[in-house]
Amino acid sequence: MKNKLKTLFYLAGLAVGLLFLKSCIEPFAPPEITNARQFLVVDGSLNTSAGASSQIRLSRTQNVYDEGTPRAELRAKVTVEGDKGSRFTFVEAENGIYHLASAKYNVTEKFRLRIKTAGGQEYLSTFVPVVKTPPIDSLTYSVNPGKEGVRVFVNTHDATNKTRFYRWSFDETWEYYMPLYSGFEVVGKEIVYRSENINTCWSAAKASTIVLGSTVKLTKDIVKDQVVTYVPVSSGKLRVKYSILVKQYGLTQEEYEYWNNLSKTTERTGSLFDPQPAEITGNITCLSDPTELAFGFFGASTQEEQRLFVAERLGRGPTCEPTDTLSSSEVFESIDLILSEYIPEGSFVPEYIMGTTNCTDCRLQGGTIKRPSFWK
Amino acid sequence: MKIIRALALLISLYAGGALAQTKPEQLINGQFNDIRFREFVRLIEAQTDYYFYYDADKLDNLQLYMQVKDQPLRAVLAQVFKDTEYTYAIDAQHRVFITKGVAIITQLPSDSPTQEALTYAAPGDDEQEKLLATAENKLHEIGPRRVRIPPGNSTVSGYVRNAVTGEPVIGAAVYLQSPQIGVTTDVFGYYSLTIPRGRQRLLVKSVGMRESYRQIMLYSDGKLDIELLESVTALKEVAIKAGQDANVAETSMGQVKLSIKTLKQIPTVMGETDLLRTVLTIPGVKAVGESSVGLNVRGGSADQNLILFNDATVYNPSHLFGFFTAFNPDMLKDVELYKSTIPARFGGRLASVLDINSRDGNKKKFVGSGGIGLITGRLTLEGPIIKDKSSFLIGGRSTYSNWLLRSLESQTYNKSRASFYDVSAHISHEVNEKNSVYLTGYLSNDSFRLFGDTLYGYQNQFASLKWKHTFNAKLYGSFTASQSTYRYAIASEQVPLNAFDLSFGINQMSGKAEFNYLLNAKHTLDFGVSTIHYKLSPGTFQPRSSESLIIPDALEAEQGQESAIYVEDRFEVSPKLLLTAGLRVSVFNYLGPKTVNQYVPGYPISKLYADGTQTYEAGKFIKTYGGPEYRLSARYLLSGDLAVKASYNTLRQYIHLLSNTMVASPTDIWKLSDTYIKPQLGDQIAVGLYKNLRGNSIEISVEGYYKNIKNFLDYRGGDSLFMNHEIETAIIATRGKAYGVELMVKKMTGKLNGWIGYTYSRSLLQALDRTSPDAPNNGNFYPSNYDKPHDLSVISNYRLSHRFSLSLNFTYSTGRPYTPPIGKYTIDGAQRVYYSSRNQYRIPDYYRVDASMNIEGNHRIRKLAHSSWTVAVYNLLGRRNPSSVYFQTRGGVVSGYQLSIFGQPIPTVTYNFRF
Repeated sequence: MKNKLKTLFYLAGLAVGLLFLKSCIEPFAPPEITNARQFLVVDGSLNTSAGASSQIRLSRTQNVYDEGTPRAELRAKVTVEGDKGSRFTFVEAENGIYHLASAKYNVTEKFRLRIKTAGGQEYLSTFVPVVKTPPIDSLTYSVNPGKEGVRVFVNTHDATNKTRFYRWSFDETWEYYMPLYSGFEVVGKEIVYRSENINTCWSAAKASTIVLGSTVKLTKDIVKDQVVTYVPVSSGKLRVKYSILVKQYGLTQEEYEYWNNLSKTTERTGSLFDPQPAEITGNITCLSDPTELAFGFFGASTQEEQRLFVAERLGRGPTCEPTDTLSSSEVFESIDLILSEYIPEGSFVPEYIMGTTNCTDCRLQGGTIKRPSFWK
Repeated sequence: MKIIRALALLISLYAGGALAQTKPEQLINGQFNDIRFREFVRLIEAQTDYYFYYDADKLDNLQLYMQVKDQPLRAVLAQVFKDTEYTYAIDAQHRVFITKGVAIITQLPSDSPTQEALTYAAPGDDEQEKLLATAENKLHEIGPRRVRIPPGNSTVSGYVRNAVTGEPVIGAAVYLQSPQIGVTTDVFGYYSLTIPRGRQRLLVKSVGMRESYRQIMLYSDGKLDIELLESVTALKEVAIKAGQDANVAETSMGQVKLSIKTLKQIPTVMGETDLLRTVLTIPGVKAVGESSVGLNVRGGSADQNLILFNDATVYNPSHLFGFFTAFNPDMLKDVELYKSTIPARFGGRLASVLDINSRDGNKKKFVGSGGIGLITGRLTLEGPIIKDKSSFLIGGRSTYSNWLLRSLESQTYNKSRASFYDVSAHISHEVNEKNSVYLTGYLSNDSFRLFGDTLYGYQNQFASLKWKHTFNAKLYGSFTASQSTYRYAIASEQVPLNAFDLSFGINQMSGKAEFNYLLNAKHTLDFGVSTIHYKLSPGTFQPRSSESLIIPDALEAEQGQESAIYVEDRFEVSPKLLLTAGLRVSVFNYLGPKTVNQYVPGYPISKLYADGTQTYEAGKFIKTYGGPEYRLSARYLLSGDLAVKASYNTLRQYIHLLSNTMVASPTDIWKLSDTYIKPQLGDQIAVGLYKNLRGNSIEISVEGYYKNIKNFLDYRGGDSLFMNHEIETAIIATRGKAYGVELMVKKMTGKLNGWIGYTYSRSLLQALDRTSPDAPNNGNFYPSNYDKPHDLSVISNYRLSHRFSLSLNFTYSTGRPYTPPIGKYTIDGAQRVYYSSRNQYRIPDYYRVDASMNIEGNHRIRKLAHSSWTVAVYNLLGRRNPSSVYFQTRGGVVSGYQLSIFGQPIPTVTYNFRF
């Protein structure tokens, strides 16, 4: 009897289970997702600063399941047209990357981008005015009270009160070194002094967030202490010296709203509090086929930049111990690197103190041993 | 007819004065409890010298239940055969002939040519009634007696009640045949009819009740209560036809009334009568998804339905995200859905009113009912508090799934929780003839957790107190106070660092006074005032443990007051043309204390342009909206069973449900209209054609509608509604249009009954600011989340016998629109996913077949407990209908998934009982 009851409970429970939990989740990949069209993506703008070149990268969208790199759009004709008749032609420098050498622009002109793809489609952006970006007044930083990170601020102003909308992007570079120093290396069958210093490297990263600011609420066009980025100590970027190159772009209101909307499109979906999916394209349309979308916003502005160094020496790196002391013949068998030579007392045959590559070779952490030209 | 008369003449001529030799009538006594006709005959024959001639086979399943004391046989037989197709004749030799249809003429006509032909008229329905009910025989005198009655009209009013339970009979027609004057009883069973003085015959009809009449002598205004007997199906097998012409006769369009009897025939997911799921089979009513909370009526969103339970607003009418309706079926009397003509007494929502009424408890005796299913159990008790005066009705329902889940050994199962309960109570008390009081209370609670992760919980709580007062025969009023609370909470503790508690609440207090005034036979006026005070707590977000790094956050509470005054006239221009015209004026005040965000003038309302705040003190009017609402409807009878109706309605809505997830879920936020969010305005024009066939047993209707909605809220791409302090920036005001055609064929009588409903409808939205970069679909119209053009429901029920009935349902609808991510690209060094234009694609179509069988116990009226078994299979074909489609990024790759909640056939068994 007891067993029977138990079975009954089990069955009933299973029914509940089926109902609430075994609700089946199946992959869902309808044609609109898997066979989505590949649209043109335009990434870049016209830099009207004196002596500056402009770059536009053309690629194609991928379907969301595609794990490869985006397909570059080759052999397109990329031109910028002014509304007063000027015309500039970009040249394809690398696959899908088009360059325009510095030129003299009439800043009262409005410009638009025209793209003719090798496939015969023609795209055109709206006319955009040239926004003159005011120079960056200063870059500052502050270490937060718990010494957990550094905040970088930008200050700027436009005395003519015209700019109002700003975007900042930045490139970060930081110096770091490894806990162990390798003084020797094996070249062929010989142990020689290491020709390059692999202890100190410089790593670089580009901003992946969009930083925007506006002064429309203010009576004067002054940006004060706008946060550009926060660098946590845990990132390891602040251990030796950190440098940030902040680029400032003045924007039109349309472009500002475009970047703002774009910043909200994230890769994340499926959580409880997801935002509504956004459909953002930009200001470029396809003339030959209106159903053909194009992504990107073509803008024209002068560009200002400034560099800041932070040498607060925050955070500690890993500590490493040498792994072993080996004879010269054993060195050839080892996968470790040679730190230093050691001649035991009463011996003429040197032995070598070894360390793991992970503790020794800074290049393994993504950096380069070439000191950047701007480093000081 | 002629032939019969001729024959009758012939027979009467031949028989001569046979009448004179008739034996004296013998009186019958006896208690006939649940006996077969054969047995009955045996008993009568033993008692008297009557001898019966009848077809024993055909009459074998006729069972009798009655008590007879000193009655002539004719009276007894009239009762036996009432409402059956059988009739009887008794000749002078006391021979009884039972025949089907026409009675045998037992006399021959007199041979005297001067004498008029004598025909023996079988006791017709009227005669039977007369014999049966003394109330019907009696001449009721109304008003003080006078010898000479002055000409003119007087008003007779009173209650129509169920003779057994004392419950009011709602919607019963009380009328005169000539001149044709009639009214229907209101929700209290109250009627008031102004008719010419003098001797009249009042007829009373209602669904499920025996037709009756009262003979009255109307001297002046007065009161007459009428008790009706329920038609007990066990005794007879005839179709109940009373009141079935409402389809054609009423002005109201798009109004569907479902009684609990209809509700009980529909097989449902858990074998339990489910109100909302039945409402969903009505044309024009849809749900976004299988497990969603909301109803979408005629292209309206889920928040545009006013759901009332005994006058209290219900914010979330379902359990467990819509798996069950939150009302105990045993508590319910009926539900009325208004989707085109919305009476002026209702307001505040654009799309529909779902008016749910509970029964009154039994005023005569203590009874109970309940059901035990695999997952839920329910029990309802009712009885008199003061006999014939007041009664109570209390019901509870719960699930034991929690306990079952825990008993499972599997880790994933026994960590999950799914539980809910609801308790409701209703007390009705008749203070005296002029005053009655009703009190209703309700409480429900839900909580569930899937795979031990996020815990969802919500509570509904409401109470209403109603006092009904009859001022005089022409004017009565009801005064209602109600309070509703709805709360939800979400808690997550999977990741201790992110453990949070999120909660939301809404509280509403309302009061209203409603009056009904019978101006004269042609005009009936409804008028009244109402006011609602809202207090919303839009959200608090708290760390769940000391470990949690969640920063506490709370949104400021908001308050509002919605008031309205209305008047409506029902004007019977002629028997063919009936008009109803109503005006409702509503006003909404958004009240302090509140801190209102300010934005830079001249720029879009966007976080980008936020510019400080302004603080308002408590009670201060921050913003006021208001305006008139028109409610017009007309019916024109083209012929007795064919009517054309038209209606035009405008409505205003001041409270909105913000939801940007794909399906309505209890996590959605209610929001009042404020400085930035304008009230939603709707207007609808509808035209319909209604035809009843085969003596009102088949109803056919075609309705078309076109609807405009202004200031409907949709959401800006990329914005979250979750704990958003600048919620106005995440919203786009849109204009909506919805149109459609609804076809319905309904047969509610006979062995095979049910309905077929088909709807073609569209529901489209367009941003009001079409040039804004945030306007979805480039400022063009786009389908709303619940735009499902084709929708077909077939509900069928076949009664194999008195004890077995089979039901089969079929539902089909076009898949819901969704916005898929259709690609990704890299700009400015970061990868972006892009979506199609809003709602440009559809998930697969939905279809489902359900079957159920009802097995009743035997039909003895008097026994300890009546029981029935329901065996049901939900989703018989096991189709995996996607109820939701979502996308997740795993390892940098976006993957799409479809979730089907009821992906396989779900059999259930329920035992229902009544005692």
